[in-house]
Amino acid sequence: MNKETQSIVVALLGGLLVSITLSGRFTSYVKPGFAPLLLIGGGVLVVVGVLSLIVAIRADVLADRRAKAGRPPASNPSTAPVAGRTAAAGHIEGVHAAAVHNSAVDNGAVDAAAPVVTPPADDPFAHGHDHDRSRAPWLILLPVLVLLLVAPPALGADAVARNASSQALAGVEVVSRADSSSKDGSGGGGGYKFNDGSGSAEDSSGSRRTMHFPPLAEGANPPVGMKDFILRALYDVDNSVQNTPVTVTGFIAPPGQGYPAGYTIARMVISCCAADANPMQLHVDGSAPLPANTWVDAVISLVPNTATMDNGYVPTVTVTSLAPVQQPEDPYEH
Amino acid sequence: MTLRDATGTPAPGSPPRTPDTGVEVSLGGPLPTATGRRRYRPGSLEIFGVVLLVAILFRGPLEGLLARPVLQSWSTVFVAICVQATPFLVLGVVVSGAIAAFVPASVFTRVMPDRPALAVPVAGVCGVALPGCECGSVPIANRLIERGVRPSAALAFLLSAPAINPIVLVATAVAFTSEPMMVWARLIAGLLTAVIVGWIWERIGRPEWMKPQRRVGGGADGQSGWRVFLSTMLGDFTQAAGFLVIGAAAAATFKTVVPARIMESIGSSLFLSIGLMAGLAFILALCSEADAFVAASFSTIPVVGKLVFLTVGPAVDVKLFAMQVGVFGRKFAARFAPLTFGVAVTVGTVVGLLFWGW
Repeated sequence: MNKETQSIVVALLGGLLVSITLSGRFTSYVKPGFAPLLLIGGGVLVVVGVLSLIVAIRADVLADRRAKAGRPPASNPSTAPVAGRTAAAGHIEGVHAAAVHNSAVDNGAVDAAAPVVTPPADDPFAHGHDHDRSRAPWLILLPVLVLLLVAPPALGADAVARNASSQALAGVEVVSRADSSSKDGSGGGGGYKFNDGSGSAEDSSGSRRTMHFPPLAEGANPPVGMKDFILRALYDVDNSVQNTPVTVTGFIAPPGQGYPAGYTIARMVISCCAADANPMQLHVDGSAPLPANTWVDAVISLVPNTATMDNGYVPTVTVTSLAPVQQPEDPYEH
Repeated sequence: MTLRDATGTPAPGSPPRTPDTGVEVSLGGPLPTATGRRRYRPGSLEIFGVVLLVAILFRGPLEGLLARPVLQSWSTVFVAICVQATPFLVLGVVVSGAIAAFVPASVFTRVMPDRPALAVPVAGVCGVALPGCECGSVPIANRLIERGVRPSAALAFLLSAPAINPIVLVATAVAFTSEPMMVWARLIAGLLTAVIVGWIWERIGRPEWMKPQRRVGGGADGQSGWRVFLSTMLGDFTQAAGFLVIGAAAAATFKTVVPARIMESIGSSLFLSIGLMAGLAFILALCSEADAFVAASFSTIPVVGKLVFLTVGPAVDVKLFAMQVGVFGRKFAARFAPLTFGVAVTVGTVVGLLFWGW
């Protein structure tokens, strides 16, 4: 890929990063805190791309002019612009150098395949290494095109089944961080050590582990995060979500492991990007009223003692009302 | 992409051209021939246009293909990794470009100790100063070598920077509220891994394993500093990002194919869990700023296993491996990655056992 095309691809990628950030689409891929990073990174790429394009075109025009002026072909005018950097660094941009580089990049072609042009081993810098001829930059087009043309949605029902693991849990530490006054259990001073390697919500004697949670918000059916709900369901000593109906936002998914029928209300939790997504699931009995991947506001209350080792600690809830809603601005919880 | 024959078709895997015909043309390169007539050759700009056109024309079928649930999850994760890594890669190439353009090589020879036994740990500790994740440190290490820093020292920097910089340590402290020692364990294990690999590389490393360096001047050759800055950034970025895409695709594939439940069946055995966590760290290719949260969420894994995950992850993973192939060359990566992996697993295990016992 030559410099002009490289510049365009880089500017395109940068522009795309800025545009998905400004349009809010980036929350399908990374956490919202990434916005400034994406804007700065994308902005730098746009500037680098545009400036490089200008420089490359000017060099091209100059070379063209020189070529028209009838310089001897030995100076190889048409390669001069792209090879300018290498040549300027004291190399004659020889075809020899290009051939060696290509052989290193080509799939399957090893240096040994070109013994004629292999430079002396005692001079590792004998041949120029010019990225202008590398094939790797073409790969940048892959995410660019996927983003530009297909725009993959936030992880949904398919990923829930794929990434499900024990919900007892994924990040007990996070709760104790949000509620560092929790002195219950073995933690003390904010640290709460559920992660003893058993992956179970019970301690060794089989009794339920508990901790204190801050009170629910005021009003009828207060909103609760999906992860918060599940942690409360599993560990809350006051059983807050069992006695009070609350509203959670999630999407419909097929029933999870250990549940032959019914459906799931799910939400993905990410800590950085969609690559580390973890599903949070609530089980509902009965047939799903809406197709999978429909986002809903559901008023629910917990059915006690339904989250067990066998179903991966997915608690069952009863649904009072279920209203389809738009996908939230941030489809993930954190 | 290279155009090496008159038809303009890229010829992957074809042997290098003989010197007399191997004239490389870049931008649609109309070559002035002896008769003054110009022959048309499609350059990469034209190919780029065709790719875009085809993609737009076949958008419907393409969308249909990617609408299948598995591929949809895959493409979301793939794009997520690319989007997430790009800002850090940009930081890396900005630093790399600045070094190439504005920092003369003499600075490094003056600052770095002459004795490799000393230079390696010094470079390792310098890693504290780079607030990024692993993608950014690859082009920087490459630039340091080009500036005359010993490869072993530059590689120690490459390994330590993503593991022990302040942002990563803070993230680790936040993720492991219940295990405050984890921050120290991670710092020590990350630094030790970097230094040990650096020392070993000092003994066994050979310069011809590395892809020849691209030469960029620092002003002495008449090119202005800003010009060098710009072209280094562009070159480094496109090269590293291309291979980052390969790594992201591989990691997304593993993430989609490997079921998360694998974790639960293994948790009980220490050595199995160490092996599993090391393998996961390699294939998941998480950003070092995020891996602590993921490690903390592996509730069934003993804490030593988590430390191994945090030690291997920033040092070597599928994404880094792809980038090292691209930046340093295949021969280098094929030796360096297994060495790093072995050292990181060992150091992570030993440090973990020292901290938390059997």
